[in-house]
Formats: sequence, structure tokens, C-alpha cells
Amino acid sequence: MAINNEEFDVFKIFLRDEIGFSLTEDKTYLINSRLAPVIRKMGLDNLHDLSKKITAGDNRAKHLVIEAMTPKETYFFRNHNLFETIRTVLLPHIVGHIKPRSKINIWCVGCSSGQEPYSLAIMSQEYSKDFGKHKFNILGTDLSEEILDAASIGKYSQYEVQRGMPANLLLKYFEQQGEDWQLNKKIRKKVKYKLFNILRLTKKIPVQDIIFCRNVIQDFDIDTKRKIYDDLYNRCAKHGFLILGQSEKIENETNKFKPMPNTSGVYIPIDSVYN
Amino acid sequence: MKNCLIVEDSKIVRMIAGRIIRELGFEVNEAEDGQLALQACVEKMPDCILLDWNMPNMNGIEFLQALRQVENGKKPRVIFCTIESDVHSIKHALENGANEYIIKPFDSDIIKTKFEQVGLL
Repeated sequence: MAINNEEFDVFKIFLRDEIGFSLTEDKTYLINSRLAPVIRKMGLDNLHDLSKKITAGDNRAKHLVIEAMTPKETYFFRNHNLFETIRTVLLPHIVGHIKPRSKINIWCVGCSSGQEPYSLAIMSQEYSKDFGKHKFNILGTDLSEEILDAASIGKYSQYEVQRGMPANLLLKYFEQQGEDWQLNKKIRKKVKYKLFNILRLTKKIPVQDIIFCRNVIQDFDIDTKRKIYDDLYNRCAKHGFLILGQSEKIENETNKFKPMPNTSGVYIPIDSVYN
Repeated sequence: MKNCLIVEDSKIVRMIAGRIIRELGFEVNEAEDGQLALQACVEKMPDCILLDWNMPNMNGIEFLQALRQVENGKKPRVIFCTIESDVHSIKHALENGANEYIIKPFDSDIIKTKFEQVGLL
């Protein structure tokens, strides 16, 4: 869809004034990709018609444009209660079962742009006194080299940091760079990233204390899922935990893991030492 | 049912935030500026406040400072929701008693996670 300067300015000014969204010319593609469904939904023909609705103060158009221009991505400390459970229940259990001074191994499968492993790194830093002499080995793996490069840099848009990062931790661990925020080097160095395809089980991953695999394999066929769960079981310590997405139910897909009582999304090996 | 007061001079932002917060199970009331919000709080103290910074009559910081002085004024969880995005502003808001801080634009995920973080959900 073509957009002229006048129409672009309508969206730019509207989004800036209403929600503080900075629409620069290099983001013209966002207008096209995100507003096409709005145009269809409103029964309009093109961006020109939509910009006229915005200028006329049409509330429905304004609402839909704002909704469409706020993207959906992974975020920090996703599921706040889960991170509290990890800190107060899972990690103390792990510490009770590993040798003094040994490292706590955490693997984030399908880590995308790094929000999940960095949330764990920040948590390990914030509560380091609770874990005694134990250091953390946090590994993030993903299929995409490009996204892992971005994760290593640890730079996030204003929008991305807000999705889950508490304001006090944002001030403490990030440096503001224009409209972006970059994690400090100390936290970035706590996470190692590796290219890894969970479907091709060639690379050796050491036994882990916690494996995050949230919403990674939910769309795979049942045979592939079983193979993956077998492999995750082999890489999960008997005192360890498997974390899945809240809506993922694996009871009919594997007998290698069982749900941890009184939690959502946390699984333990079938022969776990957890009581 | 918990009660949330949205203090915001933009009608469209009040409407969008109100819809999101109602979906989280809150009763929602609205005020167009800090002065009206303070009156509303004196009449009935809400459980939480979503607070804009730049408003006519009384801005968000002035409102927050006044709120924390009135009876039961320390009770509400206050979440700033503003276009002010610099470190100094965030720090200033937290130092003046804000519990969390949202930089516009926001969506339902941001509001939900901030509400979780301050113990509202």
C-alpha cells in the first residue's frame, strides 16, 4: 500500500500525541504491515481512507490503530509468579541437592532475543545471597544466528523493556541509549548463547538443573514431541525441573515428566527426587 | 472487586486503558487531571492508580506528592503511565512514591505485567 507524506504525518502525529510512539520514516513498513488488518476490519479501501478517519477523530479508528501499532513479542520475567516460584521453591531445592560451590545450570531452549535468560541472570544477581557460593551457568539457544547476535548485544526498545522489566531494575541494570536500553556488561556476560536446533540433537548439552522450553514445541507432531521430551529427560537432573508454557499440557505426550504439584507449567522427571 | 482510578487527560487513552483494566477484573473510575483525582481519592481511596504525568491544573508528580500526604494515601499502588521516558523522570517518579512506571505506548501485556509486579494480580 502506498502512503504519501501527508498521510504518513497524520499517523506519525497521532501516534506520537496519543501514545508516545515514535514513527520514523524507516518504520513506514510498520504502517503497511500492521494497519492492513485495520483497513479490512473497518471496511475501508486504503491508508488514505484510514488517515481521514483519524483526522476526523473517529474513535474506533483511533483505537484500532493504537492496538495494531503496539507489537506482540516475548518479554522479561514472563509470568511473574513463575519467577517467584523459581526463586523461592525450585532454586532452594536445587541448592539442597548439588555439591557446595557447584554451578546451577539453566538452559533456555528457543531463547529468541534473550529476555528469558537475562531475566534469570538479573534474578541471580538480585538474590545472589540466597544461593550461597553457587554461581549460575545460563545458556540460551535458538535456531536463528541473527536473533542470537541481537540477544548477545542485549539492546532493547523502550517498548520491549517495559514488557516485564520492573522500573527499579531497568534503572539498575540498563543504560538508556536514545530510545533503546542496553543491559550492562556484567549481566550480559552471565548468559552464553549457542545456535541449536532442538530437532537435530547433535550438539551435546550438559545435564541441566532447570530447562526452559516454553511454547517452543507445542506445534510439533506427537512423535517428534516424544523424541524431544526423551532428550530433555536425559539432559535434566533428577532434582531438576522442566518449565513449559502455561497452556502446554504434556500428560498425553510423554511419560518421562510429570507435573509438579501446586504449580502451573513446571514439570519434574518421572523419577524425580522432589517430594 | 478492586478499584482502579485512571488519571489521564486524553479521553482515548482513558478509554483504552479502562478497557484493559476492566478485563483484568477491576472496577474503573476516571479523572481528567490531578486535582479531580485528588478529590476522588479523598471521597473513596482506590486500590490502584494509573497516572499520567503531564496534565492541566495538577500534574502527576504534584498529585502523587499530595496523595501520599492524605489519610490512607499510602495505600494505593500507583503506576505512572506517561510519555516521559528519560532515566531522570523514572527515578523522580519512583522517589516520589510511584510503585511502577509505564512509558507510552502501552498494551494489555504491559499493564498486566506491571499490575502483577506491584501485587495487584
